[in-house]
Amino acid sequence: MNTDRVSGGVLLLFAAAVGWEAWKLPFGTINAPDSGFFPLSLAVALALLSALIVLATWLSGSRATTPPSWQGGNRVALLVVALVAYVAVLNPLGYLLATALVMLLYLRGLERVRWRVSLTVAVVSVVASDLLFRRLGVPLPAGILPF
Amino acid sequence: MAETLQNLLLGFSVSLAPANLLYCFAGVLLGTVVGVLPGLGSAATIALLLPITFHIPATPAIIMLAGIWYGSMYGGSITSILLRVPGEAASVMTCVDGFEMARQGRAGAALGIAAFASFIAGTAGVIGLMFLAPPLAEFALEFGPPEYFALATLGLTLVSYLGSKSVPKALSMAVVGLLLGTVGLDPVRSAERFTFGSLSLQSGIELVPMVIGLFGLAEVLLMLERRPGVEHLPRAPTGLVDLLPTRQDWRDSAGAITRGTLVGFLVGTLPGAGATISSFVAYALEKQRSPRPERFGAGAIEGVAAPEAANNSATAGGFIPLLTLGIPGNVVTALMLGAFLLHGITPGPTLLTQKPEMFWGVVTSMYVGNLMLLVLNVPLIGLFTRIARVPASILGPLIVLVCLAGTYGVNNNPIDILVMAAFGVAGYLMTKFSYDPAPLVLGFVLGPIVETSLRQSLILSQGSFLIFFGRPIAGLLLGLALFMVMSRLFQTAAKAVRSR
Repeated sequence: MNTDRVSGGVLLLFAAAVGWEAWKLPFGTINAPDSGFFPLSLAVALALLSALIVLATWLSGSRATTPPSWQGGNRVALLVVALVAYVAVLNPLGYLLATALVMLLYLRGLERVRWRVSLTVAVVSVVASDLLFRRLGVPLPAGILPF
Repeated sequence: MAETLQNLLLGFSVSLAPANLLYCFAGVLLGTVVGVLPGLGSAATIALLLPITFHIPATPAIIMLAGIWYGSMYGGSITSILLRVPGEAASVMTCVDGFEMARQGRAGAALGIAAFASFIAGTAGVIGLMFLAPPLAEFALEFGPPEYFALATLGLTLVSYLGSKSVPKALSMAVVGLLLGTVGLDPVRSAERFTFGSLSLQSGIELVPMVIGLFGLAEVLLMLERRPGVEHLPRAPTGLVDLLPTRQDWRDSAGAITRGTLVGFLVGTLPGAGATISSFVAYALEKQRSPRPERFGAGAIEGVAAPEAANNSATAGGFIPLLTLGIPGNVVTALMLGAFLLHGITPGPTLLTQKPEMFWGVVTSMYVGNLMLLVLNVPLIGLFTRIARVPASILGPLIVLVCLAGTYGVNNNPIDILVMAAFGVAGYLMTKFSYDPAPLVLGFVLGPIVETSLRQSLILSQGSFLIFFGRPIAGLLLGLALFMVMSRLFQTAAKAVRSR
């Protein structure tokens, strides 16, 4: 599998989708361009560039570039899922609790840091950031904790 | 001359005010720390602090953000030399000969020459900025939409041409950035575009979550790939008694510092280039000029002096397009533009005449900051190397914490965290498929400038693209951009055909 073909193909699809949406906007005329003019031109440019990326892989005799290693990909995915879940629970649980949970999951679950170290780092850093941000005038959601 | 002196006095009266000194100090200290830490760069840090700067006046805010930028250049050199871990992309070149020098027991001399080269170049860069910015700003007053369009286009071309191995890939990222910049209201007619009926998309995509995702979270995700519990930092050499370079060291590196300073400043002023690229150019130039190029890579002190000088003078040069034209040339100055706009100030040719105390205050604060860095760096190098040794298993979670709180702080809107996470994943994938995120961010920021100036130009010329070539400056800039893209595309094609 050639990675440039994959990424070029994805960009080409993206260009097509953007072009489709931009087509619906008023284009105006060339001496009075309207809101669709710029995005549509960009979509065409992107389509040309991504086609070039894909074409270049054939021109260069298709020496397969080494596919990226996905080692540790499951841990990357887990952290991303945790961040999405964080958004959902931030308001109900509050900043302190929700953030400490993410930190614990990362430290203990993904990095296998010892329990005592994980707990200390999570609690100290979350409380410190809470104090700092409140002091700087950024309101953080309080949630279910009484403090 | 008398006028320059008067301006300098005005500037120092601002930058030496106690509160501004404090912000300058906070900036350079924080900059050094993030320069030392791998994973958290100056771009992500400035993005994180952007919301906070809303609560302080504009001048100290810019002074502090600038301090983070050039401070990180100092910090980056420390870990490059001692641990071969570049804390910043701009100090990658310093690793090559710097770490080699450290292995030969000359860490002190390498650190010393890096600090002095940075100081000399940083100061010289500020002097250049001082003399170049006023005439350029006056000149730029004549600029109309075609010139702005040409400048922004040249910037996007340069960032693709200089910063990346594949021009089509880099240009495609710039176009994606331009497209992301069109989300929200049309800058000319205020019609909705790509909002899909969502209210939060109406104001467009936020710059801060984007930058934090691409430059902060993406780094953390890449760090997660190594096996848990595995740290692979080389041991720092102990006992750096002698930080002062010898007379021979000075003789060896004097030329390299001078050339590095000039190259860095010139490359830094180009929209689209920046500290990282300038350090590569300066290193390559020294190696090419050297009578004994084989010493490079084997601990040549010029190989440390040149890139360190270049990346510092480039930060001063990088302020020129921002302060005189209102066009940011790289990701960091793009964020600074954001800081200006947050305070209701549009930087551009009129900034110098309308807010001279701000312009000269920021410029002179860079003298002050460079001096602070020199004084700060020499005694504290031991402490900074210890910071760099925080294990990745602790550093990663801490960076995530900062990214979460910082993103939330922009608007107190949890949706921004989703945007940040999405750009984090995008940045991770982009690294995996060798795409560079810098052109994307620059395209995003320049998008409204490009679109507005293009549409206004076409209205002016009644639809003729010749307007860009009928005006000397616009024509020259666009011709340059076109030439670069074409030459590189031909090169790639020729190479591809030959290698069949």
